[in-house]
Amino acid sequence: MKAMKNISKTFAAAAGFAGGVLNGIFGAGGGSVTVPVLEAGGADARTSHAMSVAVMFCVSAVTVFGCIIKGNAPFAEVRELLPAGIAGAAAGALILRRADNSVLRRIFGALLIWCGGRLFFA
Amino acid sequence: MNGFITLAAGFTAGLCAAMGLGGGFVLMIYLSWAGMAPADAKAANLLFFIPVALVSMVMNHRSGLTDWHIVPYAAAAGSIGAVIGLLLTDVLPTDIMQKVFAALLAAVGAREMFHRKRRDLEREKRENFEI
Repeated sequence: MKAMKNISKTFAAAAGFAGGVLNGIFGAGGGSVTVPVLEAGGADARTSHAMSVAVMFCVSAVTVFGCIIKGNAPFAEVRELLPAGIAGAAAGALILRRADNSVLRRIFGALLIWCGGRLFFA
Repeated sequence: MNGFITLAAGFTAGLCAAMGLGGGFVLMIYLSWAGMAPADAKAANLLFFIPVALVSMVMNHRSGLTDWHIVPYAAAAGSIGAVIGLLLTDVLPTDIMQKVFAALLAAVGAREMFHRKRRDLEREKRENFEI
């Protein structure tokens, strides 16, 4: 928590804005920008990832509203995925609580490179 | 087999999403593999993320990992950004945006993956001393 207090509100807003634009365009990937911006602002990796989830929760609520207005609302498919998703979320939060900051950053980096490669050659 | 894959995809996406590790990408890959149209996959991903994030947020709060003084500013700016992003999807060429975004992801990923641990520890020590 100590590291979080050093982040200015402007910096946090910039992180949220950048993540929001990406989430609005692609429906995913907001955290890929929010996390590094929060880290650059002085937060450690674990708090940046946790904060990113909280910010993306609010952003996703806005984006999903826009999608529903446009007529895209696949509730049935999501209902099938949710029980396992909730279990995964609980496991993920427990792992995040004990995760090493440096290892977390390296795993995040590897995943981003993989996703970037997939997306580029899609 | 399909049921097992759905369970595995849901669990992995939930796990990654709760850790802020790009759960959206995991789910998008599964949904496109399952044959869902891109616009529906985008909506499904967001619908999935909301309850998953809620569970994660409660647990992260209990772990003391969330600073609620800063969240409203980031969330408000993020919501404005999301509206702008939604409007941009109708204007910008999606393929070019996708390539630019992919390059950005790879660059950020490389920065995260090859960061120097020692520099982080020094910064942490300095901040603890200042406090």
